[in-house]
Amino acid sequence: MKTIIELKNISKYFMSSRALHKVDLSIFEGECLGIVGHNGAGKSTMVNILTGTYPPTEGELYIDGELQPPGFDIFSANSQGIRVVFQELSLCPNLTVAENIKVFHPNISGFGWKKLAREMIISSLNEIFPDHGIHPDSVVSGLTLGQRQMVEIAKAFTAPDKPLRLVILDEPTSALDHKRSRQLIDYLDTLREKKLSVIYISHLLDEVLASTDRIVVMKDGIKVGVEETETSSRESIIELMGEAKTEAPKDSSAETASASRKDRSSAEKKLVIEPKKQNGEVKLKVHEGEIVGLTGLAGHGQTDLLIELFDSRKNPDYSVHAPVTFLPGDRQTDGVFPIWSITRNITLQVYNKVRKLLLIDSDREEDIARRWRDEIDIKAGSIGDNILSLSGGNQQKAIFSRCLESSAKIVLMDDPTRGVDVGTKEVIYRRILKEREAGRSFVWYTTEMDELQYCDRLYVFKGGRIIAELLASEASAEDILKASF
Amino acid sequence: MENKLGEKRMSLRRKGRARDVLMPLMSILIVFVPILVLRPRVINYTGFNLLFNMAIPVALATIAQMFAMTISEIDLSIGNLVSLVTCIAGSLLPTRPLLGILLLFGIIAVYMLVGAVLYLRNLQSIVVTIGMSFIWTGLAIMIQPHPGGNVPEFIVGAMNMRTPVVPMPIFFLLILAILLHVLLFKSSFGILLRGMGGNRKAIEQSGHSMLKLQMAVFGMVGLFGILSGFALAGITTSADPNIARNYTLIAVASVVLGGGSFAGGTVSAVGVVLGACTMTLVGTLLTFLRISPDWQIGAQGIIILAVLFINSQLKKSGKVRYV
Repeated sequence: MKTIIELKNISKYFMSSRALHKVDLSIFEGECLGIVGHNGAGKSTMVNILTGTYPPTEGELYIDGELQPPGFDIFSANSQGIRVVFQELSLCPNLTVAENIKVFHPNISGFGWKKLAREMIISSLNEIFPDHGIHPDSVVSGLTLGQRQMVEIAKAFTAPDKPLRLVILDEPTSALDHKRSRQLIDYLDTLREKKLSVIYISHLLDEVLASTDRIVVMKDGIKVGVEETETSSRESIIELMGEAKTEAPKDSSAETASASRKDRSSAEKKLVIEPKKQNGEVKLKVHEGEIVGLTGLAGHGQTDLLIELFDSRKNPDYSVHAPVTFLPGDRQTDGVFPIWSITRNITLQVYNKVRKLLLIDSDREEDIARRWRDEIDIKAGSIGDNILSLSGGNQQKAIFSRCLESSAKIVLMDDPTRGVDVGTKEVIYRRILKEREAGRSFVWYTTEMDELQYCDRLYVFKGGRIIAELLASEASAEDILKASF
Repeated sequence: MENKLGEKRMSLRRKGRARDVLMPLMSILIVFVPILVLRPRVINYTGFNLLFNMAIPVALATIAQMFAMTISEIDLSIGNLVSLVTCIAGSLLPTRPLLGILLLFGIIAVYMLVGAVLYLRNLQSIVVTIGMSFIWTGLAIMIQPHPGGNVPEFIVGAMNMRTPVVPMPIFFLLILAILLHVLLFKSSFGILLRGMGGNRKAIEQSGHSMLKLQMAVFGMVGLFGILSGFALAGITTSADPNIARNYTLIAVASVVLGGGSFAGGTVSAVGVVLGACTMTLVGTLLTFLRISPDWQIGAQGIIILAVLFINSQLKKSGKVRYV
């Protein structure tokens, strides 16, 4: 097979911390290459070196056998036909879909640009996501997160002037529901014939196994293995990632979840949320010490409900009987305070606890942050560092601790584990179960079927309404899918 | 099912665009209707001419401010610039035309330089443009220390042109809005401009030069500031280094009334022009109400706050509810 891109002995250091260490990697023409590993394993760094976002500290990058000069940057990568769909979305929210395409391709110009841009994005969308229902003149901010991601992916596959060689997809399905993820994977299958290479990065191992030819496993900045997808399995990859242990506790915590569920559903618990006015047949109710899962296809009103509950927590019509806190899913825009330290990001909801008269006592503040760092294992150099020095999963842990540190008895969670590694998820799941025992209630919107096993009751959403209520212990994935469609 | 959803979303989208103009339209009606009720005699060619005359320089200054605000910047020197331009027009152009023209080009060059410096040094426009405002006023006082001067006939003539049927100011503002709309929504520059306000990184990653764009945008701010100064000089026929100092904030208020936002990105051409008209008419309305000039600025502020409050209430009620 022809090698199109080759990394030789690539290392990357940020200050003193090592992001990549002596990585060799070849990418073949027309293959789909999976990259898996924990958050902080060096996947994103590798992508950024391939796309020229930043130069490697040492090592060589070859494209078609030619050594790339040190000035290799994002524009040279683009002109060689390398594209990337980043985890953080890169559309202008105030522009229409077609206008975003125009911005993306500076070469589309002249009078017919709008028509051309519309046709380009629509044909790409039609090819990847049949019956997508997205209009090219819709303003992006009016689209759901899932639709935006579809546009983002389709945009990467538009190429008006030069042929594409390599498209890198970094967590492409994190906001897509099951059906759309399936469509994307089917589409990737067709690219082999077009000799277009794809790098597929995801925490969802099943998707990686279903879509790739080879899988590269990363750990702590080192390439620990390359597997042929055909001969590998979920277990063999997890073993390589050094997480063989995570499977066991997952089952046991799920077991505890179902064991304690029985007495939970039968016991008469206090209602903590019961909005009076609800459209739709099924009414939302949340009891004390209960985990309520919101499911259904992505973007069918689950997030809106969470926001509405939070905004209306003081409104008597909503009967919210306990203090509420909100754990946002989109941590980049709604979660972190980017110029603050990890400590500040954790303690910002509890100033009453850290206050001495009118001033903030930094010792108390640090005590709280340190306690959380130890309890849920936030991997930080120092808790006084800027929050952005943490990897994505650890940032999410910090935001999670912020919510739990507050005195709120109800936690609203908007897909809190989106794009987070398996280890972090485990920590979060276990903590949620523990908090439930202490009487906290959770309203948990998740896009991952696996997470529903931790819930007591499920509400299935469709078109902005709740269409079904299921007992988690009795519902299967098929029941939920059946209700969603 | 998905198609139906798509259709529904399309109609929502159209409504969304219509609402961008609806609010500025409401705002101007809130001010304009009382004027017509109080003084029905203004409903004729001359009356409308007088009512909307001053809206021309205000609208041009507002457009200048709009360019800056669309990319999440602001120009706090626009009023000082407009005043300076009236001095150049009334004092230099009649006596030393070459120097005057050179100065006008120099202003645009300085604006582009400001844009470049803001980008290269990563400075805040609010600080840099306050600094610029002192330079503009200093220059203006050097050129024309006291109100006076002699504005060239071609500028005065242009501002007092009599167009058939529709008075010149309305005609002019209409054409201005249309041209601006084409620039903002049909041209590459307009899309990049709005995109910069929405997600700067996305534009940069697509290979556009932020430096060039920022310079172009600030060049436009300077150009429209100059046009505003000419229009104002043509109407008042005098050069005055302090005549338009309140334009800075009026322009900001007009952009906001027109549906623009400090966060950048959102903008409507028709809205901006309507916003400028509203701001102009507020003064007229207060005079008709016999409110003394001492109270007018305060009253103007209250009216603007009221209009913004009503607008924000309207926005809120448009929210889609699920539960």
